[in-house]
Amino acid sequence: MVGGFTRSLSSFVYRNFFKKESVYFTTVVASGVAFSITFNTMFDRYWDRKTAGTKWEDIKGDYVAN
Amino acid sequence: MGASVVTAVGSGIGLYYLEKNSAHANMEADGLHPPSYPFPQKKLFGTFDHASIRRGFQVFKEVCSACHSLDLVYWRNLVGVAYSEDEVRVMAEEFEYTDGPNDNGEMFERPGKLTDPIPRPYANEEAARAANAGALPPDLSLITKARHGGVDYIYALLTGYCDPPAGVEIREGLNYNPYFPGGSIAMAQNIFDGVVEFEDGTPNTASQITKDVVTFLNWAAEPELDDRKKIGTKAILLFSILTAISLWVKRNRWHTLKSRKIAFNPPSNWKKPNGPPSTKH
Repeated sequence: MVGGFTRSLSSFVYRNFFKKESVYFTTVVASGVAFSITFNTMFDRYWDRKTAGTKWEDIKGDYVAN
Repeated sequence: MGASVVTAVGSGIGLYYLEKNSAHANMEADGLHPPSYPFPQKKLFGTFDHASIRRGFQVFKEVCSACHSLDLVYWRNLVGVAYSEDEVRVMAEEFEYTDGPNDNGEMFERPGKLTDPIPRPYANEEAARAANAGALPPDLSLITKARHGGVDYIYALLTGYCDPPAGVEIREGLNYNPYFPGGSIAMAQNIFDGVVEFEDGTPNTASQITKDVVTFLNWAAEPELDDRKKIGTKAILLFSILTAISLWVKRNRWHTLKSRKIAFNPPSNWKKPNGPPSTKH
């Protein structure tokens, strides 16, 4: 653990991520990127499952000579 | 006050209902209101059935393109939507396009490429009118967005040909269609059972053929629909989450202020006033 009395998770988060602007900014950008990748991947998988069989990618197997 | 509110709201509802269900002597000029058909792309989160778009393009090519142009759709637009690139190349090469000038300054004919538009049946409006007894078959690139009623109207129109009611005279050369504003349309019925043979074996009833061609026309007018609905759903989801977070953060930051108590401790030399002011006048 980092030196200093850690009263709670919020104290730990504040001291290590929110106090210095450089760390704060990096955390925001990094979590934004991570959230974006996760959200988009999960949503695209859900959407592809929901529209299965209707898109060109689903029917092209019959028409493209692979 | 309650009675006036009820009267205002009630008459508003009543007038709205009357306006929606009004009957008047010239309703033929508006055209019969088409029913609501269950096209999957009409639903809030629904997308196109691309197999239907493929069949619909076949119908358009074999039946409709004899008279109707599709100027805003290019062969390349079909790639990855209803056909593979090789298939579209083969289809485009069946048609001759004027290109040039060449090095001698002459225009020449060449087979079609992916970058060419779907070919027009007539070179210009005058030729179209001359070949169709003065009537202009409209370009169908945006027809589902350009007609009140959209896909429902086009489907009802194509399947709605019938004999005119007793007493209604249709001019020679025109056809009766109750869904067409005015009732007399220049286009005759073109879609019948079996007029197109589908390569994927779908039964080629008139209603199936019409459904597929209408889906194709809807795609031609709104090719971005699939992406738009996907991005829109993502946006709704994200903004709902962000709104909920914002509401919570606001209430969290404000709760100290909103729950504070203000106490008044009068000074020792405070003279009590004469009591609360009188409200009676």
